[in-house]
Amino acid sequence: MKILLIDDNDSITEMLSKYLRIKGHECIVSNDGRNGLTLIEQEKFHAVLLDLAMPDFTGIEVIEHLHKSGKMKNNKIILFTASSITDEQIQDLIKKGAHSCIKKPVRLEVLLKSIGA
Amino acid sequence: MLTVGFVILTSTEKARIKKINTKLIIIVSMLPIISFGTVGITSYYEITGFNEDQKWTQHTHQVIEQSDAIEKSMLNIETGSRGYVITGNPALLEPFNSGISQVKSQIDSIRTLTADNPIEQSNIEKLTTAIEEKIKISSNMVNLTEIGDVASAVKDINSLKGKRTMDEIRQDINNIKNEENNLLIKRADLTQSAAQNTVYVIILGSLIAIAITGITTFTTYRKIQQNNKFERDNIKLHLETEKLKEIDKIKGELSAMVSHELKTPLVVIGGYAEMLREEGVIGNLNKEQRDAVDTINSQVTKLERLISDVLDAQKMDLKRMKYNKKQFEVDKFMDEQIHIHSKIMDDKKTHFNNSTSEKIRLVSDPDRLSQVFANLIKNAVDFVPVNDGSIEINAQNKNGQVIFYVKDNGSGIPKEKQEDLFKKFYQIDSSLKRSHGGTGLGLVICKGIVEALGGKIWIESEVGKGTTIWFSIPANGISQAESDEHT
Repeated sequence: MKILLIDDNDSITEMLSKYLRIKGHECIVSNDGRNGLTLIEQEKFHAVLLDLAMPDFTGIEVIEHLHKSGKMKNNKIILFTASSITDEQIQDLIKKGAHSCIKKPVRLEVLLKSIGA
Repeated sequence: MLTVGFVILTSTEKARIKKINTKLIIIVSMLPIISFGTVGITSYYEITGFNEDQKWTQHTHQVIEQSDAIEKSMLNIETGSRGYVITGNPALLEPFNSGISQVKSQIDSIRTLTADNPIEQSNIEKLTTAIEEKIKISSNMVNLTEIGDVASAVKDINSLKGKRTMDEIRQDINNIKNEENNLLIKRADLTQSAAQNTVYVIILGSLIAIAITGITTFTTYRKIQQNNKFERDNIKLHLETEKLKEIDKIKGELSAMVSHELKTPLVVIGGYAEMLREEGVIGNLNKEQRDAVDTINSQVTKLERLISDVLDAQKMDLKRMKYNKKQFEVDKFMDEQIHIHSKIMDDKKTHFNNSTSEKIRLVSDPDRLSQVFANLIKNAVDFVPVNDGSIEINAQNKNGQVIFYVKDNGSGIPKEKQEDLFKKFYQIDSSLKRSHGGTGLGLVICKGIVEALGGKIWIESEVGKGTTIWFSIPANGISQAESDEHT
């Protein structure tokens, strides 16, 4: 499976990408939202793990852009957050086409299950 | 929790207080006006009465004058008739005749004047008889003289009949005058006492009015001062509340930041520990290494729970906890609880069962209720004896409430410590802290959730016999307080 990781925290992307690769998946990492959005628009991924709280360009903005351009349907975007984002906000993002939401911290096996890998 | 110990008045409440104050001031201000009005009216009536008295005094004087005039007329008749008899001079008949003609109208006049006084009327009746008698005697003397029988006329005079009648007339006139004088004295007394009363009313009324005006002025001044103070306090409170709100906002932002910063390294630590533990992912571990990684994993779980407890307590303080109510089947929900917590029970070899025996539907937030069960079950597990522990969960429908409980056969909690259980950071025994862990926030969170869902939570416990934590949730999802609000 081809999985895109969008998170500004290097330690997290490093650990997760390592794990996913060990598990036999192709893993592409983006450390900021804007770059991540470009990648989503250019390539096709089986799943996108999107951090919501990022500096400059947040995961929420990524969803807003994709929602506006009508490209949400083509992607399985899983929200990945540690911030105290409200349930309403999450529901709103899911309405806009996000697949599901995983709250940090999370067990790796749960993560794999959510991605469907 | 943000608690402001004062009441900040809304503009409506302020307007209401102002309205009451204004009303009160108007009512109290009316009192001096009423008092002065009473004085004025009383004085008016007293003065009117005084005028009336004056009129009556004048009337009395008229009666007395008329009595004197009658007496004078009678004297004229007496002296005229006698003079004519003695001298034979017809010129002396003039006062006699004028006396007769005047006295009749004078009697009519005095009779009219005293028409309202029966005593005077009877006096006048007597007087009239005497006057008629006297006129008859005098006329007879004059007639005798005119026909030349002077001797008979003189004899009449000498008989003193005329003198007696004249004395009678004087006596009658005196009676009339005395009666009038008596009336005069009575009226003067009445006038005097009325005048006295008027003075009293004026003095008393004025004093009352002055006193009320003084009191009103003073209270109004005090009220205005109080209002000003109130206004100042209100502004101060408003500023303080704003400050507290600002602090709360900062607290909220701080905890969100802290939570994010704490969780991120936990994800990494937990992730690597999991990778290490999983056979073949990044190599294989020997038994000791596996135990070490297991400890890391369990500590990571504990730390995660602590962070989420602190955040939940914080959310509850700031009333930011969100609830999603929906209908669900309680009996199935209870079975799920057994499933969720079965691993932790197996680890401690605790007997864990769900004794719910009825089908119950409930409108509430199952996720939050699950959180309550997680906290209560975790506490129970901490306190039951290893290998011999027993935990029972139950739900029953009772009077529109779904009553849940979590019962354990743990060490129990002394009565005096039960109340404090629901207080923040409270642990039954600080010595237990190390073995049981936890933030002391679990029950606080349970209480917050249960109460937010419209229910109540309480405890039954006895040392050595175990503990039961009960909580109730309104079956229709609406608490009594909420339904009261809607009606």
